[in-house]
Amino acid sequence: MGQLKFEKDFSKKLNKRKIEPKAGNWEELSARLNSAEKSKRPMFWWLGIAATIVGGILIFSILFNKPISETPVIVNTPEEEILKEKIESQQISFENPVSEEVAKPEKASVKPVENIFSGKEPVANSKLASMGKPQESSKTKSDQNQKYPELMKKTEISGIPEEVIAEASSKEIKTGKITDTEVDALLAEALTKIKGDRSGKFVSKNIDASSLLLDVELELEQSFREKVFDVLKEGYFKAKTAVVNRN
Amino acid sequence: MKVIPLNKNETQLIARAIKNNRRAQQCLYDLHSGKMLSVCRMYVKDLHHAEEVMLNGFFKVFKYLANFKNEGSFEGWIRKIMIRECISFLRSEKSLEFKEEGLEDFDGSFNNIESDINVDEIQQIIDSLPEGYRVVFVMYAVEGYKHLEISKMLNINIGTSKSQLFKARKMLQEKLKTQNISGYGTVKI
Repeated sequence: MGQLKFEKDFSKKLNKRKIEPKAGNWEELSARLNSAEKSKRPMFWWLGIAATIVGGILIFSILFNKPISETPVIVNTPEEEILKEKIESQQISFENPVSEEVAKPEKASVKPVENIFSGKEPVANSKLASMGKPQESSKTKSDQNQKYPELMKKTEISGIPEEVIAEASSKEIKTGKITDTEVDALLAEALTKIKGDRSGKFVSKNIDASSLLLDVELELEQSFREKVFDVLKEGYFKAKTAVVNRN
Repeated sequence: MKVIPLNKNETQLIARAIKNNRRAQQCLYDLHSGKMLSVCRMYVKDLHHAEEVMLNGFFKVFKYLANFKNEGSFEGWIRKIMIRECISFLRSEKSLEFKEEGLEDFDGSFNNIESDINVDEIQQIIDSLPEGYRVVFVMYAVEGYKHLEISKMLNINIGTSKSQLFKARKMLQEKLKTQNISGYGTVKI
């Protein structure tokens, strides 16, 4: 349903119309606006005053009623320091490989020597093996790396001294064929050399993590037992003195 | 070319009026008060009351001027505020009643009468309508609101809005007929 003709005429004429308001209307309106503004302003002042009072009380309470905290204070050390410490500790562990061996469980070691040698003693880590190597063989090592990369990989993993391997490989190159007896002899020689190195440089004592834990627990238990005994002793003596005094 | 500087001027005035600049507020009041009083007068019979409503409306306009976004026209925004103010005034006076009447006696068609009467006579005819009829008629025919919008603004059913408009139209048509016959214009059907 649209607009009727007279409705269109009505809206046209009414929308054009303007009625001038009274002269004093604006003054009335501006007075109302002024009063509204004034009523707003004091609120801000009161709010500001209240906020400063509350803030003052808070600061006062914080400054003068500082509780003595028995809990340990946590200090946030910057990350750089932590990194430095880590690096230092790593350096120390490299200097003392035995301590690293203790820290790592046995399973973590890469490959025991048993796989290659039919011998009995497992070598802990390739890192450890490389730590004990003399630096003379660096040249020959690079040459061999180029010639026999597969062989070098093996030695790196198992941790066999490179001199032995170099010797064996040179023999192999010379003769072309190696008999079983020669191989056995070489292996035996290598084993004796390894043993000699170990006895001189490292203490190849296996440390079991679980046994260490057990030891610590036992120590703790012992100390607890001692404490209990001490308490019992004290109690006993107190009771004894009390009985004696009563008598 | 003339509209752009005027609009620019108005936006500048609005910006200053938001900062409670009285001169700017007065300028805006002077620009729109004539039209807004006319709008209020359409809804409110008494001119004195209409002025009161308009002042209340302008007070709200300046109070909430910061909420005005330059999406529509500033005049349209003020007009809406004025209409709402008029409705709330009529409600406070308890004169705004919407009688739920059936349209049994209404045949559904209007004679498309043309009126040739002046604004004061139009206002007189509109004033003669009951409050409910008048408000719905003005909102629909003059302001251009849809029945859904009217029903929302007045909190009534769409059906009620429609019936109020039908009744208002019928009454106005009869009044216009009598006025035309009595010499104000000629009957054109």
